[in-house]
Amino acid sequence: MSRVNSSAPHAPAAPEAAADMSAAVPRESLGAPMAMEESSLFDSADASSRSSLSEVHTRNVVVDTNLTATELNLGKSVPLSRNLAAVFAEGIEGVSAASSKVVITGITLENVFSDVPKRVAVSANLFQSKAQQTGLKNEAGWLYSQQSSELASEASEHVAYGGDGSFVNLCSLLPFEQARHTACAIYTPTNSSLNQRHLQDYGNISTKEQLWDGIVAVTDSTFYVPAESVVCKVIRYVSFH
Amino acid sequence: MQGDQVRVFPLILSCVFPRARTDPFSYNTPHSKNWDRFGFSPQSEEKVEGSFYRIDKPIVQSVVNQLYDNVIARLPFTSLNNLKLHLQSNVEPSNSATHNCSMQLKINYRYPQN
Repeated sequence: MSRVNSSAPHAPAAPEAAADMSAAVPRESLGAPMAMEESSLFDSADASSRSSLSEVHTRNVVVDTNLTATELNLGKSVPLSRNLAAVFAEGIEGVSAASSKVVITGITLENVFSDVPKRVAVSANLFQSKAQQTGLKNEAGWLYSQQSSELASEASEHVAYGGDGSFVNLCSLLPFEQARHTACAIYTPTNSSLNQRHLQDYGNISTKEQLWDGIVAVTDSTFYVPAESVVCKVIRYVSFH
Repeated sequence: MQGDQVRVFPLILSCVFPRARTDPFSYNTPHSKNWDRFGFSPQSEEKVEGSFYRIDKPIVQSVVNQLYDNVIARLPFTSLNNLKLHLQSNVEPSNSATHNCSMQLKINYRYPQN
């Protein structure tokens, strides 16, 4: 496997920021000290054990597919599994097989086989929108690879996406590559602006409509807002610094 | 309740991104409180109809829009129901020649809440 790594040298880690109270749920009185540290939502189990976030789980998934040369040339999308949500939820207390929304905290390539005589670009649709990639960094380095198919586009153009643009490049398989890797990181996300508090407080909200739940316009200039609405909780927010 | 429209945006930003405060007053007080700056304290405000607060529209709209745009829309969730790999190669097109690609991926993940 080979990669064109565009990542800049890593800057030293920023000093840990002062903690602050949760915005959404005032679990403590206004005068109480800090409630939670602002660690990254991608932190591993050691850090998450200090919060009430769920722990980080791990699954190994094998993808084995046969494709015609035409399909490879045009590009083919292959599901990781038809029951991936059930595979990920198995054995985890309090999580049902219907839970399909996760935060991926890392992907490594364990082994690979390819009998294709040319490079194969591998990408995945990790995100549903471009906004989700705002501020998101890949410590492994986002992969920019030459357009894989001359039919697809300019052959000399390097891109960080595959397919229709909703896929992000993960790795590029060498011709006839057969290898067993050791901790070959291909996706190691970090985020400078979002932290575990955001995930914990707002992780169950997906749409703007959910934020408007229960809010009623009573005059041209006034809303009635339920006391338990996230809007009230944001206004009630207290930060210590 | 009278909302100070000029200060709404930095106030909400300071809530959503506590480290990115833009209101200079944030640094002059030991405790910064959105409700204090809004001139609106849910705890002291009288509820309407038993469980509602009366809040100016621009404040509510700003809270909702900024919270969604700056946090909720950016949470990097992955949908497992639709997760796919896309494979592409510049091989000579042929419907008779088939190729095998196999890989094992180790995926670390967490659910948003317990």
